[in-house]
Amino acid sequence: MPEPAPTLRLERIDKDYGDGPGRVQVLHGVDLTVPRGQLVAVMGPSGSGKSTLLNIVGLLDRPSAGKLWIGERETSTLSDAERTALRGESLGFVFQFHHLLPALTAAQNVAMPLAVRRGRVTQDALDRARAALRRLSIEELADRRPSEMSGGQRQRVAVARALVAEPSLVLADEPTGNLDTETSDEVFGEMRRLNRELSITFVVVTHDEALAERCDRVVVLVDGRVRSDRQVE
Amino acid sequence: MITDLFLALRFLREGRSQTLLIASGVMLGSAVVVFLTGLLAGLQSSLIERTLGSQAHVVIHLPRDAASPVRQPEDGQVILRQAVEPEQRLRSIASWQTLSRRLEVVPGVDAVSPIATGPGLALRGSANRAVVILAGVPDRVDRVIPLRDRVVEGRYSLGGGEALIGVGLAEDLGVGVGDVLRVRPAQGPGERFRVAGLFDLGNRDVNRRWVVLPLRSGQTLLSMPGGVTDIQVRLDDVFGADAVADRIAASTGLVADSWMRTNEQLMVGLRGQSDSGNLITLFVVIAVAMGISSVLVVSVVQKSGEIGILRAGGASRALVMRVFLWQGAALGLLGSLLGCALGYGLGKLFESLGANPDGTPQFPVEQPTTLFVATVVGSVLVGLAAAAWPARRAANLDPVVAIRNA
Repeated sequence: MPEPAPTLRLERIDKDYGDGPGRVQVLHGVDLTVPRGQLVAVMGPSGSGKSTLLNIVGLLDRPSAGKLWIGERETSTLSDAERTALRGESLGFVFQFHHLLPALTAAQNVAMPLAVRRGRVTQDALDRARAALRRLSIEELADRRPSEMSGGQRQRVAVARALVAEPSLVLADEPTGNLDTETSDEVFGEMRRLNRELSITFVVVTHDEALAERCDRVVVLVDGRVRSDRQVE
Repeated sequence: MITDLFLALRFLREGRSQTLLIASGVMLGSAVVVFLTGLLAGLQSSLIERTLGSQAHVVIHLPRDAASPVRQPEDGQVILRQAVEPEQRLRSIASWQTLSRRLEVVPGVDAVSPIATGPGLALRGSANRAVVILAGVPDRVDRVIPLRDRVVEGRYSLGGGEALIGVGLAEDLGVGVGDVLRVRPAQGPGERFRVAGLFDLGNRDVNRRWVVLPLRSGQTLLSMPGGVTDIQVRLDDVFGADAVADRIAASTGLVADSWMRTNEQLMVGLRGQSDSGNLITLFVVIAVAMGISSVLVVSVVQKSGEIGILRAGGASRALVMRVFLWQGAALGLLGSLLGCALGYGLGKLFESLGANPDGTPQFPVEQPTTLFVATVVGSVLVGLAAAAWPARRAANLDPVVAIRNA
């Protein structure tokens, strides 16, 4: 049987901004292959290109050169609309700030990626949102608005939102950066558990070394190049 | 529910005070439009009704008699002459029956009334008054100039030997219903008529001068047996009078006077009123549109992070755009519905403020259903137009920048 395609594959990805003498190259020929179910930490000093890399992988930004596969789809030739659709189908996002819609309840917030994809807010979407909240043991928050939750609870809801559409890949940019150590531990613990239980692939950008050591693999970027790439024992 | 509409309504609910504030703005704007348009329309209708109460929309008659030159100047010649205007005689329109039938089927024509009209004298005892003889077929006269409803004493009847006169003339001659008066033309003997009814057309001059007679009597008195001097026409659309008159004049070679031309000053006044009403509406629309637009622009800035997340979660640009378009439309709808209610209330209040002697309101307000429908539809369209720019801004937000800056 042929080996399943990796969830994510980057081949010689370059990214530069600007033209002429003001041109700045942020990524230099980055190669990266992430198999299904792996939890990868991307580390590096500020300005090393971590967030740029995450935006490219998240189809929010286009590389200047190189190729990017999400599953079996090569993305360089896709139109904006196709990239938007693929993002909705295959990717989930968790950001440093939760960015929950304050006007919506937790369940409605979590249901939003499904509602956006289907064009309608359906009962099924809300049921699946509740199931996602249950998986994170926060179903009791379903009818609360973000203003009625703690920081850790909001970030958990954001994780549930990233997972509700059952994406193959979740991208997290400093997901615990705004949380205290204890809450940060808990939230990351949940992500790790879901990664194992559901075999969802995670790429997590972080500054937190302790957190990185709890991942399967740590990739270190320096000046836009992969400085090291190691499996965690 | 559709996702974009769902989000739009939630966004509006979230910014409750902003939403209420701008919806109130739209409400006031719509109320001003509904009230002012109704008031202007009411005043204009009442003015036009009063004017046209004693006038046909179009009157067709023969051209004036003109002096025909004795000889034409030849090349290089100039004839110095003194033209003397010929006296105008009463003449009948040729083949008026055929012409009347033709006019009845002209598009836009509602009713046609051939009449014989000319100057005369009404006498009773030693009293006499110069009058205008207006002789026609009773039903036809009434369809062009609604006289039947204006009969205040006696009844609307023009049998043989019967006449209808205005209340002013009745007073001047001291006659009442059932009394007999003599009507004679400028020259020649007269005839006796029994007064069947008195009418009040709301016009002092008309009330003192008109004597309405059966067609045949009028024809005899005016020495034009079987003839008519004018054909009066009523139209479906009073403001189409100029166009219809021009068409009739061109096709018949006769003179066709529209009420709009014979009441030019009134038309100038009405147009001035309409123009100022339209100008006020325009300013209201601009103010409302700017209000909606500015609130939504602020909302786009406030929600850029959330918009970024929606985009990251697979929302298309079109969906984000629709979220803001819906908000514009909803603000227009909500505001205009409230505004219609307020404008209607104001109209009713104004109508109740004062009444004319005949019981009609001093400030008549005309607010047909179409006015409310047009206001609501217009407001929704203005809301959509006002939301277009903020919606484009939201749709074009780069999700990366939006999320980073939020």
